[in-house]
Amino acid sequence: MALLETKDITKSYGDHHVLKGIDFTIEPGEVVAVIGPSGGGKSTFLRCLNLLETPTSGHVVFDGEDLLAPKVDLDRLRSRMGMVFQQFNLFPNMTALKNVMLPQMDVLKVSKKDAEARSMELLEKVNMTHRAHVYPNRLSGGQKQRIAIARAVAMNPKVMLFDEPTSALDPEVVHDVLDVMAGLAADGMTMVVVTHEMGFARKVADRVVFIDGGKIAADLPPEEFFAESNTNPRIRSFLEKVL
Amino acid sequence: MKNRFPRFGWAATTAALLAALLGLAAPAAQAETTPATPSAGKMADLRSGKSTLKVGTDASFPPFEFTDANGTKIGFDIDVVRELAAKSGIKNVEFVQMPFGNIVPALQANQIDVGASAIYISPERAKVVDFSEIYYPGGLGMFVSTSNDTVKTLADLAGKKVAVQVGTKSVEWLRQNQPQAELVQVQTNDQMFSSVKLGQADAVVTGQPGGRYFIHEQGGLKQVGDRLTNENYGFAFQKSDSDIREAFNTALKGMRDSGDFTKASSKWFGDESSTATGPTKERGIFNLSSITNSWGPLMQGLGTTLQIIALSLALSLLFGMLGGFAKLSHIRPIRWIGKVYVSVVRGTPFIVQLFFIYFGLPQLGIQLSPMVAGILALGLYSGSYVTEIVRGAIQSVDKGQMEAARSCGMSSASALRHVIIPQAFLRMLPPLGNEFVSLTKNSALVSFVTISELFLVGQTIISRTFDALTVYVFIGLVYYVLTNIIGLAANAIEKKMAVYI
Repeated sequence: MALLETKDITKSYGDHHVLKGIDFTIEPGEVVAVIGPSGGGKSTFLRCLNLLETPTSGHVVFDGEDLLAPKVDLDRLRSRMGMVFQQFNLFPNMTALKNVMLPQMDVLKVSKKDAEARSMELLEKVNMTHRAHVYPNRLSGGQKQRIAIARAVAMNPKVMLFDEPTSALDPEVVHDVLDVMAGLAADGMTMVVVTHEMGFARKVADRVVFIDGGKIAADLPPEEFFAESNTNPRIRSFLEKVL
Repeated sequence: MKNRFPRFGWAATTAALLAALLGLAAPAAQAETTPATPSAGKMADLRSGKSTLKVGTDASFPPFEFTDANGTKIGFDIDVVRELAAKSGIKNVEFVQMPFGNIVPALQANQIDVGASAIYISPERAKVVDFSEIYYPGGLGMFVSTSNDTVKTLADLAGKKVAVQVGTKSVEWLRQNQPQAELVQVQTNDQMFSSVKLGQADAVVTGQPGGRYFIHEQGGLKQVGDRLTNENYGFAFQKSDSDIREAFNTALKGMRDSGDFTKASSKWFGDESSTATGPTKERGIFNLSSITNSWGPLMQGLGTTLQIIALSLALSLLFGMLGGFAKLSHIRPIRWIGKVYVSVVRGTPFIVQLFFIYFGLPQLGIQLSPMVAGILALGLYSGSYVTEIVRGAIQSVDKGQMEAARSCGMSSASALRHVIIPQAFLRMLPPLGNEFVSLTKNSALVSFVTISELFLVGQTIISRTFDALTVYVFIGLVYYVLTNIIGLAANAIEKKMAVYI
């Protein structure tokens, strides 16, 4: 059974139709790279997966539960879907360590001691133990994003959603973050990654989903997607611009 | 609808609403409804000492009622009322300070039992309150500066500035009998005389005994012409308190028969026949003695002021938080309540709200003590500004913060508590500091509902010493220090909290 599935979701702001019917599934352990031109609806699609945006119509089914059902416990379901943002969205009023600890303690009711131990473990994984007691304003973008990833992983999510995680970073630190993400993928994490990093899509992703004009225009394994034989004119013109 | 963060679920909003009701219920619980019990029960309670006779007076009208250097109310009315109450078997008497113009409304609102403040018996007043027998014959007199030789009769007041005290009989009498006089209406008794001495008015028309007392104490003025009216002072009672009034009348007759009344009269007015225009007393511009002699009452007033500020500040924060969250609620009626609160409270003068709460609500059966009314009014007023500060600060927190918290599975209440409010609070500090400076200054206005805070203590000192300059400079300084402490505190807290900026 698919871990996460959308059935014909649309999203409109007034007369502006951003998503025009998207059917999508992801199986446990899969890594899907979502690419496509700006304004094509990639981020809106991703934000519909954990209902940061409410689809205008359609269904989002996660782990067998319809997120749009009237009495669904959205907080509980969201706690099992990690999200990483382009702008990191670390809580500036707490240290790196506290950022990772807070959701565990607040949502999972983990004791302070256990949350701290688990958080230090994760900071170790993202090479940030030396910055554990620093407030985010003292961290570089790459460091912030690694902590944001640790914060999401700390919840033991079944799937992680990445919304252009490297777009706001200086080029020289992009690979630090991509390395962490590749490590997660290698550990078997299910991931949906909206990205402009074609290298990541090619090497790490199991599938590449190309969203253009509010629709999925292609959903292929990377070797097929990036192959010379893929003659879809929209994809060709997009790839020419980004590669 | 576009996602609008932060959103508050039913649970958070209901909790906020509940807290609001509790907040409103707390003062309401202290409120007593206007007693429907007959006056007979009241008299029995007064005689047994179960309740206290509340006597409203404006202690700025020597020698009838004023305060000594220790802040104790003294004067002819005070002595006579104490004696009459004792003779009527009433155990406890409490004098409540209020501006003269508020005494009759306070009787109607059941805030006080007796008005004793050199009140003329007039048909208008007699419609809403009952009067005792005449206890002192008075009448309006005309007073001018000793150097003034042009005003000798009522006719001479045409085109002249005449100082009168707001809410006193002089106002209406002059309008009818000398409409060409230009009235200068001042709040307190001493301001009338000061305005003539300072050249702000040409003459004073006021009760003759008060004018003579001023001349006796301070000099610089003289009485001209004959008594303008031949009128009489009475004590005022609530219409329903006929037995208290009867008891006072009987006691008054007893005092006259025994000669006690004459004793009291000569103690305060001296020899009735003397019309001396005393010498002008020499003194410097600043008289530290005006402050030092009244240090105790001033510090007591400061204590009351601090208490009012602290409590109304807490209330203001509470109302501001509730109002701010109400305005951000995604439940329309609650948002609407927040909007109405801010628009009504910010759109009307504070003094109107204060008088509405203290004098208006008793007509709806909600009677609040002066302190509760004053603190509630200040808290409500300031809270409307804090509402906007809270709303603005919460909305200014990046919406990615709420998204990040919610996407971890945190509830909106948790996100608010741990993530949004701490960040918003830091942004609130500078405008909150400003608002609490305003609140501190506005606290002087609650003197109008008879709270003996710093400003009112100052006024009563002036009514005795006639030294407005020194006293107002001193009081201004005290407020200046207070507001600066608040400003510095806000800065210090901000600095301490801003470690992550």
